[in-house]
Amino acid sequence: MEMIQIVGLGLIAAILSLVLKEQKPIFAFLIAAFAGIAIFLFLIGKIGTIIDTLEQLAAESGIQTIYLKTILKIIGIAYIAELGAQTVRDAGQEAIASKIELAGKVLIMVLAIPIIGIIIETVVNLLPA
Amino acid sequence: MTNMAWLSEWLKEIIFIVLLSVFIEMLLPNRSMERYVKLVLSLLILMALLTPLMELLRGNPAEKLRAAIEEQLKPQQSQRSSLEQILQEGEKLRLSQQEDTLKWAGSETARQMKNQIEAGTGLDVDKVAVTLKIERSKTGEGKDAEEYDKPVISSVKVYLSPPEKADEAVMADTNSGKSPGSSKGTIQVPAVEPVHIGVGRIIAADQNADKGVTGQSDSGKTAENQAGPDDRDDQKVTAAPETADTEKIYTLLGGNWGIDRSMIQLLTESEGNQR
Repeated sequence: MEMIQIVGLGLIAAILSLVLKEQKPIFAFLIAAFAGIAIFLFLIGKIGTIIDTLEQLAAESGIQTIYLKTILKIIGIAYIAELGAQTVRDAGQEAIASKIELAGKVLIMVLAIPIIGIIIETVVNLLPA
Repeated sequence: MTNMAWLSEWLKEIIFIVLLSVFIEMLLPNRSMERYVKLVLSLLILMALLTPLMELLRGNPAEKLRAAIEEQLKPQQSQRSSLEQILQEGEKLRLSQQEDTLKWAGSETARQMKNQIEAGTGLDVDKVAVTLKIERSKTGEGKDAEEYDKPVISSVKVYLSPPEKADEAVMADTNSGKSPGSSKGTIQVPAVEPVHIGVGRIIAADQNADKGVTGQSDSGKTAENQAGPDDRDDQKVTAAPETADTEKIYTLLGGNWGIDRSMIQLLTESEGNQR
């Protein structure tokens, strides 16, 4: 049921943007952007249930929560950066879209920095001073 | 058991992270992010693998090692200490037994000496105290030499009864058949007595402090004689004057028992405290 709703919303948004593209391209872009955001917000509830389940599993198996948090942050950054970049690319601003993607990559790497630090420290401790 | 629990925990963590990474790679919106996400996920897996190693390295490894070794050595040490304790108790028992034996041998020797002196010299001996000592001696020569404990007489104290009665003195005279001059020397003892110097007593105390055990003949004065040096009770003794009789005792003891002259003390009790 939900899938049909989303596909219907997408189709309507696509047809409307096609119609408006000839007259007012700016409104066509707005329709596309809002349609994308609406679908995304619609999915957030579903993503929430998935994340809840994962956290529960992690708590039950006694996993350190820092691993799960890092992974979830990575996935969130990737999705949001992708959404923003595609929306901007739709607007014809390829340069801005690539900058958004770059920002996403950099933020993902920032998340890796503490892990890299811990691993390097361990390796240095392993070697005799 | 705890080791296995730790291992299963560690494996669970690794499996969970690997599964999650694959899941997330599938979820990724496009290929452009994949390299970066893969890098971070592989770092996470590496860290999960290294976690026990970091636990091991945390803190002072030398300190931990020392504690572990001590923990291992502890039971052996306690066993050894208990064995030492048993040996010590055995030694204590042996010493006390030896002491009893020495005491008995000393009293027996003293009794025989008293009899001999009385029979040989005719003097009235109040009591004889013999101090025995244990000496380590060797049997045989060279390799076969074996050490054993040999009791030796370290000192002999002869307590002479003061000749307070004239007839006893005369009797002693007649019994031993000495010249009157020498018997007078014996009778002269009361004249010396009023000095009351505790010389003999002090020497006796010093000898008692020596590691030997004093055994005495039965004169009912065991307790007084065994008392410490500071216990100056009523039994005051003075060294007997050198006379022919004392010389006789010296030679008698020396001949019969092979005791050196320096080890023999002749003492006479003062008159006032006699029982």
